Amino acid sequence: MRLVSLGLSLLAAHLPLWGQTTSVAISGPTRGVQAQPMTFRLMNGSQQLKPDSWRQLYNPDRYLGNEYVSSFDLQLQANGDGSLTATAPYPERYKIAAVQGGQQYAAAVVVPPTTSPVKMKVLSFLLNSQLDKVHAASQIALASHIGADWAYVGDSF
Amino acid sequence: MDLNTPGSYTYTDQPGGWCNANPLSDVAWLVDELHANGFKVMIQPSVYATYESIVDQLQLFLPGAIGTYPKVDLSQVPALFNAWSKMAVDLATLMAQHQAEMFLPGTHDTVVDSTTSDLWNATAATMLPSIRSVYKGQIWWGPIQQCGDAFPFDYSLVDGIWFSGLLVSASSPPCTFLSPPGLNNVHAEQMLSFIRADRAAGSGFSVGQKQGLPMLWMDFNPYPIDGMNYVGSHWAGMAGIAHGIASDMVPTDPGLRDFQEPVDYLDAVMEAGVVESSFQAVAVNSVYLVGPGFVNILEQPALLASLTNWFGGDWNYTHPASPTPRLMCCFRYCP
Repeated sequence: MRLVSLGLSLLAAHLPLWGQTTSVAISGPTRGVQAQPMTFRLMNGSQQLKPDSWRQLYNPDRYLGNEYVSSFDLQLQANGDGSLTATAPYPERYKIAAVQGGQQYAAAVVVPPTTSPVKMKVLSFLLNSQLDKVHAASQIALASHIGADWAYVGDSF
Repeated sequence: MDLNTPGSYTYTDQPGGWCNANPLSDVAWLVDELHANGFKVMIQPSVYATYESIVDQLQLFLPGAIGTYPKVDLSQVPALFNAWSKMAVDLATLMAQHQAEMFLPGTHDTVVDSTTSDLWNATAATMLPSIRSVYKGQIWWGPIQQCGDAFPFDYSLVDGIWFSGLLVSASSPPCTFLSPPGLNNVHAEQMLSFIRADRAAGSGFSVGQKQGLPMLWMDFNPYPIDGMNYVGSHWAGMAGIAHGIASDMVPTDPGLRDFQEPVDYLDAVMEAGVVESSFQAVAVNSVYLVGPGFVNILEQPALLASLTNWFGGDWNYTHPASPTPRLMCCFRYCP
């Protein structure tokens, strides 16, 4: 079930994103909980709209952009009032879109692990030629923000 | 280690003209720097050798090792292992001085002849207690391949096992590396199914459980290359053959880049290996310490954000869509 579209999905794939430039936008959580239903609504100011369809957005194959979007499938359920209930099976960042009147509006939700399953958060540091200590120190400092608590030092990957 | 003069095998700390290895003083500096940034440190030494004008990892010159390299005579293998053992104990002594938390000596994935593997096990049986006499951190052993041990080993000598994910394919049947080839346009759901099948079929995945030891998934390479989910770190050779990628620094075909595939691969491996199985972690390759490279995880924003989500790191620092993506300044392709 790669494409979890709810009607008009093929058309929607080619529609522009308007979410940030008009008063119409998706309202819903930006952070979610794994396996817990999340509700999204398409709003025009304080008025809820009933979109033509909802769908999940993916980055394409051979994606060259910077955006983190999972291709794990959200479980999507369109509700009678026009809202969407989405449930994330795995901790990732997901994108959804509502299509209405020929326009597509997008939103993203991050689902972090409820508790980190990783007992040792390991990053590998590659050391296989002459060391530039200034460069190495800057790389280590940047990497320290990722959340790893172990560093593997080796060579030749 | 220069193997050209039988009977006088010794390891040399300082690199010579034929060898680009780092001196142990650099490794010691690195341990201190990593500690200063909040990391615990695990060290795995490698030894390079030169033999008959060829330079590569030492174990590739052992009797029975795969490949076309010349092999040292079996009579010289004890001296070679003794030299390795001295290097390992010397490095352990240095790591004890710098309080590195884990040491991974040796290599266990090279298939050699049975006499050589027996000699290596005999060496390990004396080397590991010698290391423990000078070093009080954890000692882990490996790598274990997904489809089983290259040769038997006494795991009661060590504290944990590292598993090589090098040949784990996320889009082809288990234990069939590159034959048949995997899929290029494959998504996280499909990758997860393949890796679950790998896990069910490969005896290497369960060695830790059988031995009662923790296990770490290593050699995991989420490179931004179309098809990397099945070629892994062999892409430079294998993908080069298939796709014409000639160099890891100067891609010949930018159209073969794919920043989404490593994200999906990472997520599928985390789910199958850590969440659903008993691995302590997936050790993600790599932060480059020696210069830029497109496989450097610090130059892959999408992957970096995914990893930060799994590790519970500073999302505002690493995610490009965050209100204050402070790490963006290091991405060479961003303004």
